[in-house]
Amino acid sequence: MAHILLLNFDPAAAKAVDALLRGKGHHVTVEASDHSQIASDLHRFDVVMIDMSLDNAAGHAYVTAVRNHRAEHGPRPMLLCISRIYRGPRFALDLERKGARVVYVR
Amino acid sequence: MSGDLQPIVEHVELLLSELAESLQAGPRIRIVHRFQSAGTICKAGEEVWAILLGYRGREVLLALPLALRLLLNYLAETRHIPQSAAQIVAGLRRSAFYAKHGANSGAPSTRRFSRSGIKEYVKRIRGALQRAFRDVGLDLDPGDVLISKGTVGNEVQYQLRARVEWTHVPEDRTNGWSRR
Repeated sequence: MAHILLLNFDPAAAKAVDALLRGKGHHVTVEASDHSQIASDLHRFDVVMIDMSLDNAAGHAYVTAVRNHRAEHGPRPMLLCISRIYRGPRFALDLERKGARVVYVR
Repeated sequence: MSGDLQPIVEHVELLLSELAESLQAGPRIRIVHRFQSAGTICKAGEEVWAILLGYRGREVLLALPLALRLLLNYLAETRHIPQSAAQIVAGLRRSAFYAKHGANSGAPSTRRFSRSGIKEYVKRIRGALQRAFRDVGLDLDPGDVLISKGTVGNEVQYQLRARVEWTHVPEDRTNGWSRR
């Protein structure tokens, strides 16, 4: 049972992933605050999941915020980036170099 | 979002397992010795051929010259206890493994260590770890793996915090062994 934070999801996607993970017994938080606020809350979570489907600035800012937190505080939370759009190996490699695991979903 | 979301669950479970593992034991280091004599393990005459960092099923080579490989091998062997630079140097000088390093090849390769040099060597090992961590996508401070501890006095003690395994290549199989 883990504490999982969802960032940068649209409401429908957040609802679907939330239900899936709660069904597995995890505690899920869907956050809507901007990346400048998120850093102070990261210590509460085991996994941060960021939707990178739009490849937008907000998503990348979240990734950077989590990376900076982990660089200072250790490997927790783990970082998982999902994308519903395939953006090639370079996209995934760039995120992996920032400590993220990347998974494409349909 | 429709479709198969099972990969998300699988990745979450995998990440949680990795998190638990890394919090408990640190990253995995594999040290490869070659020129192993039959029936022996880590005996004097072997060479510290390569040191690799493992994470998420991948291994990357730590870019270490001979002196740093020897030092890291020693710290791995003695990782159960923190040691000062003086203790490290004494241990390296006293050990037949380091005095006869690589002798089974017919061309021994040794290095002398000084107390004043240990601090710089530790710094360089951390630099190599940092690069390897970046290559495998591991967000970890090398200072949390090769740690420095203060003592009641001014002495600094060093200790390696990682899972370590040794693998050996026999004397007659060096040429045919392939690295991952």
